Amino acid sequence: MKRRGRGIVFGQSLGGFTLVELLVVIAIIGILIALLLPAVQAAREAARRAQCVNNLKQIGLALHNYENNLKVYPPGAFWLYPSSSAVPLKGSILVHILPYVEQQSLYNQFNFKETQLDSWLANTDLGRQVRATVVPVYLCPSDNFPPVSNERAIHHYAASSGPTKHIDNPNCSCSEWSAWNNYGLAPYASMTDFAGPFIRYPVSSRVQDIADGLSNTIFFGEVRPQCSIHVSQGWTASNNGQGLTSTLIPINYNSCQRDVISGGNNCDRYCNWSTELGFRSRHPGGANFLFGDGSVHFLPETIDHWTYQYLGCKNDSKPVQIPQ
Amino acid sequence: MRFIHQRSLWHGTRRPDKAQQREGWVVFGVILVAVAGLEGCGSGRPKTVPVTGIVTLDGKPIEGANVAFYPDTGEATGTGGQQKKTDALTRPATGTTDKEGKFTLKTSPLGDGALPGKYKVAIIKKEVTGFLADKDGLSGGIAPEGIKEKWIIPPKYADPNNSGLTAEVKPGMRPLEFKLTSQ
Repeated sequence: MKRRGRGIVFGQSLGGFTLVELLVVIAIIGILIALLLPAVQAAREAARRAQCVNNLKQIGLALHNYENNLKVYPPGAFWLYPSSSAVPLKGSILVHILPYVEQQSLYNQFNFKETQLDSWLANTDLGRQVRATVVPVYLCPSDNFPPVSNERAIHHYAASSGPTKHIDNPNCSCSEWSAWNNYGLAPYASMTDFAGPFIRYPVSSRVQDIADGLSNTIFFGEVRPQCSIHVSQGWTASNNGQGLTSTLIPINYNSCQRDVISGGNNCDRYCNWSTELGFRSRHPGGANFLFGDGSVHFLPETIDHWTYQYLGCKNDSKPVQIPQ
Repeated sequence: MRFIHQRSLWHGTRRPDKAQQREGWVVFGVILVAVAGLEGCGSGRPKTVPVTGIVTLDGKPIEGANVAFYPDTGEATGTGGQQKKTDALTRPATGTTDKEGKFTLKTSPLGDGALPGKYKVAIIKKEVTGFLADKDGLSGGIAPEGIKEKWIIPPKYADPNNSGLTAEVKPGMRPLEFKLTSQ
């Protein structure tokens, strides 16, 4: 072929670039970056998710060490209905496993001589300081909710009460609460009959109570402070969704609206005491769950709803398989 | 334009080589098609079908009733022994009636409507008193006098196994009608 350039290298002329060539190169680079950018974002989310899973495993280790020492699992919360100031409130499970997640010094700050720990946390300088102390192992980096919100350090994991029934909030009523209770395998507010390993009262499960086997029973799962008024109370509170969050509500059910419609239907709002108390995460398509054997599984939001209940229940004696 | 074209459109040659030009456009086209193809990669979520309907009690539309669709897997719902008979994906769906008794189903978090398939239906409306809030507005306990329930729709309709109500969800379905009676 005849070339009219100034020279020939590898069969190419050295006549410089034309405008069209430049535009094509820029377009190709642009396309490559457009292809790469989502991959970079996905890699960053994968790293955050790995951290999120790791924190859940740390909580699993803490539960095992607690059980090793005391021969029972910690109660979901030291909570009873506060009909009077004499009723003891002594913090949730996240307070009582502090020594087992390497936070002994933070644990020592708590004044457990107070009958109502929540009042001490709200009304004393030291209490408010403790209430706003972030415990990194209780946070999932995938959720960008402010770590300290309304002066409370938040948490992203909750102890599961399994398919234990809920009630409705008279001031933020959701018509669906009773329908989800049709999946319930244990009554509301029983200190002896609860479906999951945890309930928010000062009662403990033992290993032999988890009759379905530790590897088949959900112990903890992910929750979002944005979507639940209980979870938004922070990790120190006695009534913060620990031992109250259940498997009755489908994973990632949207209850994240913060405003309240009085007299309306509030199923998509964070205050309704039923749909708010489900497990959810910011990960697309599902949420992470800690099982009794210390393993963490990502359960998809499309999991069969009965399979989910049987994984949540500690003693239903139904054979189930964890979906992969 | 004609000037540029003659001077150096492709490889600095005065007369562009037709074969090379065609090749260049083919490569460019392949890249465009590849990028367009990537756009089409969806989330892979199952597709729900829009479901609406109306609920009447003794012939009158009823407001504020919860309509719950439970996947019918061929066994009793909630009494145990429940193992899926099919591999089809099933999800419960819910809706609430408005003033005219109309409801629209949703399957949170998958979206509006319900997944195609057979369902047992429960329709629930009751007034319950005795649930207490603590001072922060959180779920408290049960009042000392206990829970009082007043059923607006008879309780048999609240049990998907005894309501006698069923529905099949499929694309292009017409609005459903549930006629309930107080007796």
